[in-house]
Amino acid sequence: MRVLIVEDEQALLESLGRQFEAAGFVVDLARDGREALYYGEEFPLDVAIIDLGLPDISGMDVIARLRADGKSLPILVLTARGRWQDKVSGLEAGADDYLVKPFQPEELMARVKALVRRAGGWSSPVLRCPPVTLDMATQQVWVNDNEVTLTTYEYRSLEYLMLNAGKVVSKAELTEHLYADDDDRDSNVIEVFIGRLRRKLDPANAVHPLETLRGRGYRFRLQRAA
Amino acid sequence: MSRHSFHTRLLLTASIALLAFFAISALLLDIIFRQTSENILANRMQVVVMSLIASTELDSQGRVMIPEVLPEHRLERPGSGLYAQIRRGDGAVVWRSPSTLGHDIRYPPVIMTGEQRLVRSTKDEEDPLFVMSFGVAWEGPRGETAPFVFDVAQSLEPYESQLWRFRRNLLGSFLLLSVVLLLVQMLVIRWGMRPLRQMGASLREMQSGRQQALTGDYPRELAELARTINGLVSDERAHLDRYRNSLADLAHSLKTPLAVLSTLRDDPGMDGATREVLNAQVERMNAIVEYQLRRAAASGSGQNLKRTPVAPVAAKIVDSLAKVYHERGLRFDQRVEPELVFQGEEEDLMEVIGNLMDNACKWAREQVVLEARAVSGSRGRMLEVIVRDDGPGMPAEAVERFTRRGVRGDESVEGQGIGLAVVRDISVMYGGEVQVERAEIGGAELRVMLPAAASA
Repeated sequence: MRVLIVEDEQALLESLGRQFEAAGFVVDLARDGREALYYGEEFPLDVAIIDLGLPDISGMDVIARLRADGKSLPILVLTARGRWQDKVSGLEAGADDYLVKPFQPEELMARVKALVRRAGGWSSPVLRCPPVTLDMATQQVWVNDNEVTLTTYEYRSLEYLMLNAGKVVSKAELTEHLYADDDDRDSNVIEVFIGRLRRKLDPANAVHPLETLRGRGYRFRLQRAA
Repeated sequence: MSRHSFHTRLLLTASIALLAFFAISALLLDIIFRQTSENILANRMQVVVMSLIASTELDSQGRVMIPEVLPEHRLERPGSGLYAQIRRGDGAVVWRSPSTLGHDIRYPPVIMTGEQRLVRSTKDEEDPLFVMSFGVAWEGPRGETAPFVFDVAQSLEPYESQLWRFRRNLLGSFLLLSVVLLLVQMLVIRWGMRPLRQMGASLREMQSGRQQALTGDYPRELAELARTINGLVSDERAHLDRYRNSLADLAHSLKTPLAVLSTLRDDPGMDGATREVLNAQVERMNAIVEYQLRRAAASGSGQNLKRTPVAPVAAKIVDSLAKVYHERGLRFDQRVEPELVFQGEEEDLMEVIGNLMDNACKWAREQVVLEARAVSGSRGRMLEVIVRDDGPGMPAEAVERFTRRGVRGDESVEGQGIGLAVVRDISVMYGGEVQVERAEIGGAELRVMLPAAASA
């Protein structure tokens, strides 16, 4: 999952970056509005955290421009001003949630993950596509009732595919959401992850959770639980 | 006296001056008229006396000879009002005019030759008269001088009646004039005071927030005052804005460092106890900063001139919260009277509705109701904001904290309680009040009273 964090306070920016990286996100950091717009235009972001008090272009304008460019990614606004007027105008400009500084890092993490889930149409942090269950909060995966141990990248791949369950995800898209820089990465790596995931989730080769669509990408094809 | 209106004062003093002027004028005119009339009368009597003297002669025996036809025919008709007699120097009456017949006229004592005198007297003991006496000396047939006194009496009745007629006319016309002048004066004062009344109305408009400044074309003296008042108001507004901006800047500059501190908790180099202390202190600092900033911002409202329609603010808050609490699938029910206007800053109304609704969303199971309506209470037209939810209800302690009277100073507030504390403070600042009840749909029902403005 790829997150953009926009914050002009260096210490806070770096600290948040470390935490989101630790939580398995691909992190892009921006210190001002111009950088934020650059990342917003150039990278396939899953979610953005934007501080409203930026030095050059205000956070509000950054959001408005991203929305005007047709970007529908979920955006969480950070604001030092706890007034409702600020919250409301942030949300009106196109943000999906807000958090008033100072905040608990766990709270921020939970809200961001909730936004990502919401964008994929999930309402709970536990994604259920029987027999596969993935818990975004604990990063655990079960098939039926047996926990499956996954490596970091295997987990991230599965999380992204399950969030977009039913949709076709291209190899390039998956790569961009797993790695920070998009230099030519051997596309075989993705194939290797997918192969391993198939073996771990479906050792009996019975349910076929991951479908390969030749030349187009992959699709998580199990139905979401009602 | 100071409680009397300007209008009354001017009217009263001008009226008194006007009436005094008329009274004195009438008195003077009366005196002048009387004197003039008396002079004219005396002149006429003198003419009669002179012509009587001219037509009288002494015969060779020294007797007074009066012509058959008298120089003034009124002397011939009895009771005509004009009478005459001739006395010798010793007082013996030698002749009386025929008009005297049957009347008793009191004449003054005789006077010396060459003297002339005008006195008041009476006829038949009651009717007033003027008597003019003239002392003359004639040479008798033997060359001796014989003194005579000619008296002419004129009844004052026609003179008196003329005087009264004059007085009646004078009084009548002066009264009419006074009434007209008083009316004119009232109109003049009313017209003169119009700019002041306009200014008063304009000020009332400002107070109720329908106007931002004194408008209207004022005369020079008031234009200065209007400019000064406008200056004061805009200074006050600018001051308030500056105050708010600097508070917001302070908030921003304090809270980012606090955010940095709170992310430090996950620093691996920190032990559990230190982390706990850090957390608690950051939390506390934040609560204090937050609470004081909001309280100060709210207390900046003061005398409020702004008008804020309620429905758009309510809609914005509900839209925002629907977005934020999207996952909870809450049902929002808005029942806001469409014409409702809050007498105060939009920002303050947003804080009140935002915090009440946010609180309700936190507790609600699936439904939050926002109601706003106009009520008329002991303090005039008020706006009542009611927010209820279907959750478990507010804990007694929170209720107590919310409804406690007065504004607290530096008391620390738990993170959760800040929003409601702000609602209460804003409400108190605007002279309103807060109330908590149990909602019929299950949870808490929070009621806040705020001043309402007359709808546009």
